[in-house]
Amino acid sequence: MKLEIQKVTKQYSKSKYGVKDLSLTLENGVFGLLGPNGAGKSTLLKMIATVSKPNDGVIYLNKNNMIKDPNYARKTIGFLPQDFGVYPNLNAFEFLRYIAAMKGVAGHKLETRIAQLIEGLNLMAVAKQHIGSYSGGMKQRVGIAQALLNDPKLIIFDEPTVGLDPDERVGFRHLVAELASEAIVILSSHIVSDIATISDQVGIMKDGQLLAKGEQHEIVKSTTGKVFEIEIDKDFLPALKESHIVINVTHQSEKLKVRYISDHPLEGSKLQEANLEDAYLHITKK
Amino acid sequence: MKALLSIIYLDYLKRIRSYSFLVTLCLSTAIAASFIPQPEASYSTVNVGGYTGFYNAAWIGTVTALMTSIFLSMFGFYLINGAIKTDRESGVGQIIASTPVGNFQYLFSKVLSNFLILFTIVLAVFAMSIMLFFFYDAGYPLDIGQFIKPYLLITIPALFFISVLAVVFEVLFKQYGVIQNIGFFFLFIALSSTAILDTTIVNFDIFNGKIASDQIIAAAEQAGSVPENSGLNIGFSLNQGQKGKKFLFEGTSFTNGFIISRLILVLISIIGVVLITPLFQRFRQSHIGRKKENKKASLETDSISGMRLESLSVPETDFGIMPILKTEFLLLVRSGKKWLWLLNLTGVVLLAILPLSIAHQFVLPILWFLQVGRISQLSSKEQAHKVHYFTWFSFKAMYRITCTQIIAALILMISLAVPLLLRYAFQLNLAAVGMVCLGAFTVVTFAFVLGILTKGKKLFEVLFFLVTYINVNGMSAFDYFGAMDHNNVHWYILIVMIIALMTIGLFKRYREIYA
Ligand SMILES: Nc1ncnc2c1ncn2[C@@H]1O[C@H](COP(=O)(O)OP(=O)(O)O)[C@@H](O)[C@H]1O
Ligand SMILES: [Mg+2]
Repeated sequence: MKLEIQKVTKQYSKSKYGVKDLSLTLENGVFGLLGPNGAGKSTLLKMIATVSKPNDGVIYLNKNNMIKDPNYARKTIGFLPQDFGVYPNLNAFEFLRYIAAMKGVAGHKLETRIAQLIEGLNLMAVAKQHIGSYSGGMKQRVGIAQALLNDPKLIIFDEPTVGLDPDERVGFRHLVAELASEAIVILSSHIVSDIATISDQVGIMKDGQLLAKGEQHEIVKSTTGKVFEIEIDKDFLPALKESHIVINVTHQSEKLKVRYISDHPLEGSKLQEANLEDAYLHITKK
Repeated sequence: MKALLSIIYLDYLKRIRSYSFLVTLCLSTAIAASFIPQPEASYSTVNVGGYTGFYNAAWIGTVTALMTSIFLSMFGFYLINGAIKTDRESGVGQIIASTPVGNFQYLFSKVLSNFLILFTIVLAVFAMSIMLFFFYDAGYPLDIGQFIKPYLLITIPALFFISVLAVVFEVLFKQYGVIQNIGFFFLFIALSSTAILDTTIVNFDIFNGKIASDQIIAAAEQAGSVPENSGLNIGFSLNQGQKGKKFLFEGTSFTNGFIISRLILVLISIIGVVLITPLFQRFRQSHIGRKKENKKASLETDSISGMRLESLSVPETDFGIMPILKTEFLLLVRSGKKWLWLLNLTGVVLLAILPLSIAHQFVLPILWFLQVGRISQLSSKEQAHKVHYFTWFSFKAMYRITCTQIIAALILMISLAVPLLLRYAFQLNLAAVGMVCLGAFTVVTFAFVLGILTKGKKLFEVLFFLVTYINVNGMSAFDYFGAMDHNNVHWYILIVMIIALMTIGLFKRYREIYA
């Protein structure tokens, strides 16, 4: 599988760009897309999923132009939209059968696959109830199941961990790792820890542009040597926030312990090892 | 109080920005305008024994006010109902439930925003009627009081009543949108027939403004040669060679008793809101129900690890439409309450046993109208439920979705009509068989295309109601299922309309899926 995104632009209105002149090439493995809300992650993923068309640029999947002829890609895409719904008066089996029909998946093995997905995503207990009665997390898992119905090779998960509890996140991570061996898996999140643990490669987006892309250690490298920790009085915090990127603050009796990023550290600061969250904040807050 | 006003205002804003509002607005002004035809027109719409009034302020004001109160009461209900449901579905209801806004205040705010919607339409019609007055300029002075009075006393109280009725229906029949739609249909017929029976003592006359129509008739009789017992005719009639039969109508004198009865109507409506307030569950019902099920389900929820991917079986591909068709049909059958199928069954039996003409003209359109809730979301349900990301962007979605939705709905409509079709078939009346099938296709086309164009179900529901009402009343202009006599042109127009609508609808859907 090879996905080539070339100079893709999505313009919502005259001055409003969802994605601007973005290029990216991906091969099998997990690509984690990080970015604050409104960065354009969903916009980009929808274009990759052939749900919306770019105003400019091309996307190729294995040399097939996905924009001109989306049908080639649609056979092999599994897409979990950020903002999806279900028919509330169908149960999980019926709903998955319906989506399977839409995706053109059929045959006697389909029933087995649906059962395996329902079992695997731990929905068996509720599978005969109408989806309208599901909790957010259960609905999310139905969404994940539908994305995997057709044995997809290009898998796009937009904010997949929303609504999943910590246990379920662990399960999801295993799932993604297995999927990635023979498919491109793209997932987006605005939560760094979700991405950090799963992704082979990470992209950081902001204002419709890809600010950084690469393996995690490469991205962290740019911030190495710039993360510090210092103890200060409470009163100094506003001033510190003005001039530096503050990552977190912990209270220690009278004092505050502050972790921050800076090219010019304050006196008395201790150098810290940088991680992906530091790099993310460094890149997006610049 | 201020919070309440802003709730009403925002609600109002949200709703007048909807497509169905715009359409109803245009439709209402168009209908009202059609009741004041050009002076030289060869037809009249409101007349007494072929006589129409001179175009003075009293005539134009009274006729448009009367007609607006009748027509807007009818389809206005469908425009405004569902206000509480929208809040429930959007989750706004739960937010409101957690605020200090009281139940009565909330319900009353819904009444008011309902009323504001209808009032906006009335204002538009009112403005248009004054414009018509100047446009046709028949040489009478602009007596603005003659315009305002009938609107104020006839139209506005009736619409306020409808605004309350919509809320009352929603509280009483909470989730049962179908009952609301169909219940109103029958209630409206009942109310408009009591209006004919009414006496001057007890005034049930909510929509018709009988006081005005009586006085119009009296004025016409005074003018001379009106045939005896001719009532106020509403509906298109050609005045063959009778052009210019006119009388002078100088306005309705509203008695104090009438004014009081209108005030009482408003008061009773408000009391109605008070009375149903204790029944209003404040968005709790569905909430609790949902919580319970969650608990039950989450008891067995551990983790999703343990999923073995390599053991997943790889299914074959098949891009046929049968499995989709099955689900589409299932969705149609499932929507609405189960016991509604008892009503359907009754309808089917009546189709089989009643005299053929009655079965065809009355039972069939009503039986089909009973399906309004099922088919009104035919093509908009994907977006309404946000499932379109899955369905629209699958392989060759356009062709597969379109075919299955239309076929599923056709199967539903035609299978309900099977007894009638068989009876005609035994008579070898193939023309009638064809027309019933064409009727089914017409309904499905409208449901499908209007759903695509408006992304909602309201407009279709409003139109379907209106057309059914007109048909059951025996006016043949909107007969789409061949129960009344027509020349061929009627059918050509219908077929051309279907083709045009389909083309527009498919074009828009194509743009949505592929652009
Ligand atoms: N349909 C739309 N019309 C106009 N603007 C949109 C639309 N969808 C998204 N946007 C805008 O594009 C930007 C990117 O949105 P999105 O892709 O949803 O971001 P993310 O998924 O990263 O939170 C946002 O500023 C958003 O307001
Ligand atoms: Mg998003």
